[in-house]
Amino acid sequence: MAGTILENLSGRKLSILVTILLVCQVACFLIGGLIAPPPASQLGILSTVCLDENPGLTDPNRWFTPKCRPIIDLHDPASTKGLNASNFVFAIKMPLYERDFSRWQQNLVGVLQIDMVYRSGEVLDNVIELTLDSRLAYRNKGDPEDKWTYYANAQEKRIMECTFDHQHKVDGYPYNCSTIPLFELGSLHHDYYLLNLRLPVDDTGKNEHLGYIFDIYFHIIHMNGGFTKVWLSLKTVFFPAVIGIMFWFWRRVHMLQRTPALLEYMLITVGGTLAFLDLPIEFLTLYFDMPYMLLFSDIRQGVFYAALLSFWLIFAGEHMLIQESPEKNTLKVYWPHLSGILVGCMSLLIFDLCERGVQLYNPFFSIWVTPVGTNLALSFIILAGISAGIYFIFLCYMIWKVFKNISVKRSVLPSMSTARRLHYEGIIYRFNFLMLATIICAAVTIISFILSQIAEGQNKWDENMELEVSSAFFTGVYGMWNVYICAMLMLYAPSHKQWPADPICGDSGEEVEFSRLPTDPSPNEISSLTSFASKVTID
Amino acid sequence: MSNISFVFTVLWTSIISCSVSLTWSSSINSMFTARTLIPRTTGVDTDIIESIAAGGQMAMNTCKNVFKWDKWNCPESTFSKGLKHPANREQAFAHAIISAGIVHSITKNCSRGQLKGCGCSPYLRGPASLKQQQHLFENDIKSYSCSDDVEFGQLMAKIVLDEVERGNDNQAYVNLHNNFVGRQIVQSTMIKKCKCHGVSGSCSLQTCWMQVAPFTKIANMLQQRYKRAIKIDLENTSNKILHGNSSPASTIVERHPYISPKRLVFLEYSPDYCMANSTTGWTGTKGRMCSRSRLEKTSLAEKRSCKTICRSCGHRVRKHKKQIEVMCKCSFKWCCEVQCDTCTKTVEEYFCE
Repeated sequence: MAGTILENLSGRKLSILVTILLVCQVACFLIGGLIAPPPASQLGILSTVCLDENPGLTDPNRWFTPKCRPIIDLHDPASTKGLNASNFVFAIKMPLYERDFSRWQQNLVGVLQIDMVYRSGEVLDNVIELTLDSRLAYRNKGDPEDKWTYYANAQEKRIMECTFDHQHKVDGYPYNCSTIPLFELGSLHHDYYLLNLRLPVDDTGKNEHLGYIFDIYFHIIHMNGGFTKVWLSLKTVFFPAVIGIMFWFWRRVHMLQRTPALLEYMLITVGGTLAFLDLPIEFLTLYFDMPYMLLFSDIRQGVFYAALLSFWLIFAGEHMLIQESPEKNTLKVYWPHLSGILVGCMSLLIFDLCERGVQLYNPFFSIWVTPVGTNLALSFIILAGISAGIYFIFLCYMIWKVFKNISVKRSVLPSMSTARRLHYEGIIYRFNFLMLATIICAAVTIISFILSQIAEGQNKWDENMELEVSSAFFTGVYGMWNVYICAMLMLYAPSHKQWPADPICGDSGEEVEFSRLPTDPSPNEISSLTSFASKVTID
Repeated sequence: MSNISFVFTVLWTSIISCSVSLTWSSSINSMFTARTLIPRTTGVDTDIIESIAAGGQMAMNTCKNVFKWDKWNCPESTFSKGLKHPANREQAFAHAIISAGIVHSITKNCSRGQLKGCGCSPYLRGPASLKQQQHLFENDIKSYSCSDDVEFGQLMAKIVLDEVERGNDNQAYVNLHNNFVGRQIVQSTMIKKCKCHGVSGSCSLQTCWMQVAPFTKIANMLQQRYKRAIKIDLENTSNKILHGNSSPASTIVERHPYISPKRLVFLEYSPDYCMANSTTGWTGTKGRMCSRSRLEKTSLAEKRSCKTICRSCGHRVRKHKKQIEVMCKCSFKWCCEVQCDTCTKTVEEYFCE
């Protein structure tokens, strides 16, 4: 006996299985599109300018809320007379409108938008360096109204790019300035947050290139509780399913009288990383403060994609149909192929640790601010990009080689004995099946990504649409890779069929079944590749 | 939020009762902020009234700035409610900019968290209880978006301004349309901003929002529309119905032809602004100041101002030299004007004679 379930499955059973998987897939898209709200939403808050009469005080527990008095009106020159920029505190309380955050909203991203207006005679650079002194505090529902607890504090630099339409050179005409990312919180554990922002000035030239600030908007972005619920439900369903299929697969492999083949190891590894990705650990964030969740989920995704990319490469390699030795392949043979993936993933990991890792200690940190940091970040990303490029070129080359071998073998197929022909056809069929499935999955991923970007990019396009495109993209693609891996685990599991195989469906002779070779030299070896290799020597 | 509608009823009845005798211009602040107008016991949100007043004031100031170097310079009398205004091009602009100013002001104060009853989508604004609103905020039913809440501002501006136009004639129709243009322009000039926050900060997840443009920009857009405003000829049959005072205002809208929501419209051609007019309180351009500044930063309208204001009306331009004390060598820094010297400067002013 040899081969996988895929070859031994009758056409009818295969089509039933594929139909079920497709239904799961479509269900995932529909859950995202029809039930889930958009993945994230934002809230724009206009800051209130408070007067800090003693800017020199460094007591970390002085907090200014939007209810502070007196309020400074930056639009009114009389209001700012005799004051210095260090006296101004931009107070922002989140969220607005008598609401409070829920832990289902997962994380919080803060973005600043500074509105500057033209003053006659003023000349501003296009690129302005800002120094932002930001302090963040939190409060929970039961706490007294004025009890704000210190959370984080940092003085960070940011770059803002501004353009001005010189046709309208009149007082009060606005500059068009870029938004400034301010912070990222990996966990939204508390009910209210308070941001105190200062744009201090001193003799060292801090903020000296700023123009006339009219307003400071603060935008917060958080996940939608409804989306998190749908997302976690999906994970909760997928996780036991994947674990169950893995268990079944591994039991089947171990029922054979041999050590598992490399491809089987790879399959179980990919399944394991998928199960790790599916593990609904986010439920814990509802009870514990876990600021490392953003980094953790980045790493989980990275590990999964690294395993998947390695699997494709090894799968192509194992189907080369030109094995030099009958020995079993190990991972060592593939190390030059896999090093690209390793380099790419490591550089992305280091980049992520530099950005989100440091943000665990200082949520206001950004690697993109200093020139050194920017270069470092860029070099890691470029390195990852190059390795991705090398990987894909390599993968394409290997696939091309496999197809070439296939066409060579096809031409000699008619001259072979029926048994051997069926054997080759089995390998070719297996390879083509995976190729087709992979290409479809990759194409669907790319297309839905582009669609969701277009949907997000258009102004009011989806306002009256019932379908939530970006949510559908997320749940659909997530479900698709789950379905894909599950299908691989099921279809590429070793078959139990003894040769000669019992006809599974005898009612119509049209359904092709791939029988095993009668002269299989190693009956305990599932991989028909190795068995094929020995046949090469017979040939 | 259920008492909101009651608040509005109180609000607009008080406005209408006052608008008969008061003017928008001189007493706009006192008109709205006078808390005596609305009994405190009703728990009225005075913040909304103050926002409306501030918006109206901002609109008037901006109007004056925008038309500073034009023949018509947006005088305060434009906004006076006591006078009967002809429905000309300038009135069209005035209606639109007041409307836009109110929308703008309310929208911004709403984003500041100062106003009760506004915020995010219509779902959250409606009769939902605080608990329901919190549920929606957490879970986000469809299309929940917390961009600047223009719709709330539009609703307020409609209540405040459109209710005043209770007539059933063509002029009321034109005013309503121009109010509408003003409300819409705040929405159509909104700026879109996006932020990527996906895996490792990539754009696999992107969130966008809309933000109201600064009012100066909106005023400039409206000025363009003022130049492209069209005169419409409406059948004057409605005046007959008006005397009966029975048909609701909506019938006018049904009867009139479609006009693009981007067009300002007027019924009468503007008078000759060179001449003074005692009935409208227009003083003519004689004695007005113009500018001969030729600096690079000077706008085109300012460079041409002596021609438009004086010479095209047949006035001569008189130069007047005077010495003034100005703040000079100021280095404007964030924030606030610092390090200024006072120097005496001879300035040349030009007047129409």
